Amino acid sequence: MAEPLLEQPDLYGVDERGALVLFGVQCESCGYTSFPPQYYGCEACGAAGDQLIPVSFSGGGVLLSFATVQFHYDPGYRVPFIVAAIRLDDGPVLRAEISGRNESELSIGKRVEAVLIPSGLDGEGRDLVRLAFDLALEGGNG
Amino acid sequence: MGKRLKDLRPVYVVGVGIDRYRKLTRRTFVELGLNALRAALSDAGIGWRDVESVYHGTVLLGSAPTRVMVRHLGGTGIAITQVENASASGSSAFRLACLEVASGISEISLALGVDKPDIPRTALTKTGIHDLVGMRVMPVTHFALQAREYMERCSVRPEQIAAVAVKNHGNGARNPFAHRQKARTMEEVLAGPPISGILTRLQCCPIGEGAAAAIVASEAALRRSGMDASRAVRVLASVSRSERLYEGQKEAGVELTRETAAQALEQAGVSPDDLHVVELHDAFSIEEVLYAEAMGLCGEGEAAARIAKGEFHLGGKCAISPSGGLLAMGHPIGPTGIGQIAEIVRQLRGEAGARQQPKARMGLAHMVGVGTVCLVHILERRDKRVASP
Repeated sequence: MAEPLLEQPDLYGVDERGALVLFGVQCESCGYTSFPPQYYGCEACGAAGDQLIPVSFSGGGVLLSFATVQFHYDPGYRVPFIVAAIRLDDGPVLRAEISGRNESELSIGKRVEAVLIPSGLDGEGRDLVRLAFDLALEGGNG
Repeated sequence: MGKRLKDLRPVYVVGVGIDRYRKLTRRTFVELGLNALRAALSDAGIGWRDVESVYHGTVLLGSAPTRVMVRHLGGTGIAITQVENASASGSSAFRLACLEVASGISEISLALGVDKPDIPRTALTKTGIHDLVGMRVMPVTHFALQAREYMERCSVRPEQIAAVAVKNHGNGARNPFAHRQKARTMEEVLAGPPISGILTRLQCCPIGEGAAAAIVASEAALRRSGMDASRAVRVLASVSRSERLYEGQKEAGVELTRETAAQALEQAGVSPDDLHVVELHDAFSIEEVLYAEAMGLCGEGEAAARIAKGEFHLGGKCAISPSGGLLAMGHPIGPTGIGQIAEIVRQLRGEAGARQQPKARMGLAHMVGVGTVCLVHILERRDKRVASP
């Protein structure tokens, strides 16, 4: 069976050690790091896009907030689902889904880690996976 | 260093008009706009021919909606500009009208907001930059995330946030221009279907149709046109800013509100304690709490307790969202920022009827729009004496 395809391969991937990583950029001019990657120009200092260097962020982070979405106008998004604000250990703050948990299991400050979850099929019937976060297996709170 | 609005010649709001915000009807946008325009002209006691320019805040109508509307007041050759700035479109139109009069280019200018519900065609999805969540995070979830973080940081319970909606629905029940005109109990607000996080339906603003107009004029126009100068309301400050990069996990809308409001208060030469009425961007209940604190109406983490004490209710120290705010008066998008101005003008004139804040002399209007942009205006009741030229 073929490996599932990544839904957003421009945003995340598996590195040479087999770890799930997120792709971002770091500005050569001012050092600012950001996610998702973009090469238009640095949001902090305005340096042109050729000074934005691709970097990988590890999938570890901390929960800053979370909310269970109970209603969505687009039936393509099946409710309920949980989204969270997460600060990656490597710096950037992002928003992502929390997979397979009830809100009662979550609390602000808990450690989370990136995981791949099923995301339906692509146009040619192949399995897709997308990046979400789950509570980290080790390390406990904080 | 540029000039402040206050350094230019004085600008006054001399007429306001609203077509009641409501659910989508079959009425055309032309009808809505003309209702608000005629109401504002009548309120000011001037004719359409006296108005030199119109700035029309609209997001959803599409291109070139203004001339096909205002021609029915008589084709005067008036200067026309459409203004699109997301939820802050009406506030931005009002700012441009004020700047045009303050600069001396026009004596009388008009800010108009007209919209009818439609699918927004936002540019945010066309940047080529994608994130992990996309449309999974709608505005309500953006604020549900902020609510959870705030409740944890400030030890506040969901019902203390919901109290904002109870207050604002109560104000809306006294406002004939409001989309929602029904007082709600805490039980009703909490029982409503949950939308996202702690936010229930009645803690989310309704988006319907509506129109609002505000006419601004110079001192010279006030004298010349025979308007009632005692009803004129001075625009003391107008500040428009957009998001910067903020440290760590600070929320852009909150930090942007903090710096925009501070700049407007400084320009007006007043402190938050001087404000008697505030209309702010309470599209979701948590926003009133966050922005009241960011504006300095109370300290960090104190807003919920202040609301519980009635300090932000009508009759309290500073009435927040006396119109019902976006939560009850509604958020038809383009008109919203101008509707805030209309409410503050009525409050400062003492013409707000059943929802009158006693002794209101100074008011602040605040809108944020996705992007993120923020506009703040500060208005002051004009004393009977005419300001020296």
